[in-house]
Amino acid sequence: MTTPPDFSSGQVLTSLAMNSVGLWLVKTQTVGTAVSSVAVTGAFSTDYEHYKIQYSGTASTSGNCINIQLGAVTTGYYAVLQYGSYAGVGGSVVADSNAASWTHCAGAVGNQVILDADIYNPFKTQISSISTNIYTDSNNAGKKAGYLNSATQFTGFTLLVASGTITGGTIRVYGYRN
Amino acid sequence: MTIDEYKAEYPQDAVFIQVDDIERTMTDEEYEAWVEQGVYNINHPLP
Repeated sequence: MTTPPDFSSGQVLTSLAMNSVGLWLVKTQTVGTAVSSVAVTGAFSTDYEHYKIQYSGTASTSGNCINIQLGAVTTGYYAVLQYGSYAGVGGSVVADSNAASWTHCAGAVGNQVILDADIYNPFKTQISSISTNIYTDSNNAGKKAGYLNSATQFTGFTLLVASGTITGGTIRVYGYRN
Repeated sequence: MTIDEYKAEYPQDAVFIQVDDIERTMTDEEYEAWVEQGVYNINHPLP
């Protein structure tokens, strides 16, 4: 048998092959027009421990664009965005210390926002953590990591627009195979 | 940007909160809090 993901036409997909698929699409959510926040429910469960959230769409303002909140928890978010400027100034940080959400999870260059965040253990009765793979605005770029000081089991999350609104695009949630 | 400028750009009846596929406008309290946070964020970009 060929090794996934290189399948042959007409090949039977065995459990061995399917169980070796590492990333599964859990949920998609189309974003409406001029929304200030998007809550995505039913995303996290016992099926997976860790998740990836991706979104690209149109922002009404540039700069800091997306904050993330898990469930209804509005306190206890700790994280650091490390970023540098395209002018070569590095070593700058933005800290969330007992914040109401994880801020600066995604930025917008012009009107284009890109979010790529990994959420760790959101459905376990232990702290949840986050890492983001891309923060870009017109002047800076960086990455973020942190945790939420809560042992709540979360089934969903909310994308909060830092200023202005977002329009269109699709939020995709993937589960990493355990 | 001032609060009045922000409100003029984003009137309360033109901004929506989305939960899955359902969208609704904000309550007065939600809108005022959102405006205050948005104005702060837009006036404090990363240096």
